[in-house]
Amino acid sequence: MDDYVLVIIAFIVGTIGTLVLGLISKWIDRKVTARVQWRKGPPWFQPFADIIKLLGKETIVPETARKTGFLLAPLLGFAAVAVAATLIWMANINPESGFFGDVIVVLYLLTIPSFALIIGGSASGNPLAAVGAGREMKLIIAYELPMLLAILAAIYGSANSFSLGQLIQNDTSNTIGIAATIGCVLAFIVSLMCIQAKLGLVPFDIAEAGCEIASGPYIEYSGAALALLHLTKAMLLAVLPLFLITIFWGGFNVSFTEGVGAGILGILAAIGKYVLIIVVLVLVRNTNPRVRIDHALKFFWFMMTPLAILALVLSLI
Amino acid sequence: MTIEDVVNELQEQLGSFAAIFQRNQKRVYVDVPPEQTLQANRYVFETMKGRLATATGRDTPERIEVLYHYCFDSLGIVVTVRTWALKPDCELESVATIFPGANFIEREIYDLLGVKFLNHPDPRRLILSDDWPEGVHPLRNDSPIRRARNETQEFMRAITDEVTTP
Amino acid sequence: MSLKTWALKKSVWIYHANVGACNNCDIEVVDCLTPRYDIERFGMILAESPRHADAIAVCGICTRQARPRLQELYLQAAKPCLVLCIGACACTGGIFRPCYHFAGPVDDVIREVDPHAIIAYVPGCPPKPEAIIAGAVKALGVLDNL
Repeated sequence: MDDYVLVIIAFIVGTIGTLVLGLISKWIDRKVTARVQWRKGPPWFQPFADIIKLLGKETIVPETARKTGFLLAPLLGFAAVAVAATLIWMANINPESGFFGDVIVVLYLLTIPSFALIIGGSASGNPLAAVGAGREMKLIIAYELPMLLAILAAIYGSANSFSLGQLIQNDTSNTIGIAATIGCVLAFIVSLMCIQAKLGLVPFDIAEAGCEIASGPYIEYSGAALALLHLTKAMLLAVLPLFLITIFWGGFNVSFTEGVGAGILGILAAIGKYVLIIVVLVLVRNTNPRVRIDHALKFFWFMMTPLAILALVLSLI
Repeated sequence: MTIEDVVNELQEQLGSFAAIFQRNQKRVYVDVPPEQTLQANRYVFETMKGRLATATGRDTPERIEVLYHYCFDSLGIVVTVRTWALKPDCELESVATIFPGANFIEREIYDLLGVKFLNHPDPRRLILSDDWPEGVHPLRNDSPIRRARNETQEFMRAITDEVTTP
Repeated sequence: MSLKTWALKKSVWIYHANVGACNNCDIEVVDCLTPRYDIERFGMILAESPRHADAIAVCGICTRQARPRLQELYLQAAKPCLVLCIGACACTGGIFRPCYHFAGPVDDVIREVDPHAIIAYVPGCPPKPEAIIAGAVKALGVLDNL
């Protein structure tokens, strides 16, 4: 009984914590974008105000929409990201609490928000939303394969185990050979590209292209359902870099000085790692145009996949 | 080539039925009766390689005039071929049979002025709204819309007079 | 001021509709997003779909063809939603008022479907971006009394 209560508390705290972290990351995104464009950006509470405002508007369900799918899809996406976030936080705070194979569970859970978007977009009954849903499907086909190969490369290169907790522990205590190091660096670069597609950031935001198809699958959503979709996106913005840090950079532990694990230095290092990834994503977002869907497919299949296979081979040596 | 060469060439080829008039250094007008409009337009477009910039219309008491403006970009002059359609029938040969660039502009002239173009490949209305009544051509001088506009102007004049006079 | 009103005033998403304008007012609306005026620091961004909109910025006289479509756009927006009439043409019809394609100034068109709509008028041809921002702020001030 105690265990269950602990898990539920961890779930609630993890969800709210990731929510707040995600909305602050969204603010970092908008502020850095504004500074790069020589503007002042919005104040720090802007994403919070957006969500509260959306919760206060009416939710319109169009006549041609299938009500159940239309309204359930955002909930599905939100729930999946919340569970994935809880798993990653628990593994970081208490590395023994994971179970064997939870990397695979987290990977599966992180694909559900994209599927929720496809279901929601198709259920709206709007032709532009159908175009957006189709593009999201093609994008999933493109980026899932290199992402899996890159994660496999990291797993085989460092710890040879499928548990998040063990990955963190082994990352801090093992030293790995040169080939595996190069392999893991390549894998990190590949997975950084795949995250941009998963988050819907330029240059891969084809599914919700603003000017072309009037934000694709989001077009018919309004009010609380739209708030949930924006929250899901914000949480993904927090969860995916955390996932990468957990697998590649050893979670919240500082790995270059033995013995100085957690503590102030560890927390500062964790925040630094996270902010570094977010800023890299934002800078790439601001300097690139949006690519076409066939260019994206070619990029992920013919450039990222061979790179990921090379990384896998290098880390298996 | 200069503008005098252009005028001379037009006078030779079309002078038997058309009246050529050079207004200033840049503008030449060719008045053509409606029976020979296809011949004149074909000559200016195909042989002299003029570029059809646009076509305009004019509403006069006995007839509606249609003017085709051809630009000669290397010389910097505009040659205007002017034909007319007599009221009340208002029919004219369509130039769109020669080259498709005149298709839309003739549809617009039909829509707004009521000139029917014979043998037009696509005789539909172009720019008025879908629920506009058939047969009402708003840019004609005797259309009821224009009368309403004049009434509005008198109304506006009256209320400003009322306001300014103490 | 309740939390709902505070959030609505701090984050306004503008949907831009052109119902027969000469494009001058459209350029000025988009000018507001450039670094010189930067309305994103007030939380205003352009919304892509009318359902996401908190304010519909209407430019142009309402032509006969556009009139039912503008009413449909307003009905599609999730309430509460403001309407900003940008430019002299949208406020009263401007110099095109006696024309054959004029179908009513924008506030008549919107009041036909919703007599209690909140409409702000920004006159000018075209209005300066400062005027557009002032008009939006005045319209948001009305929300306090709702």
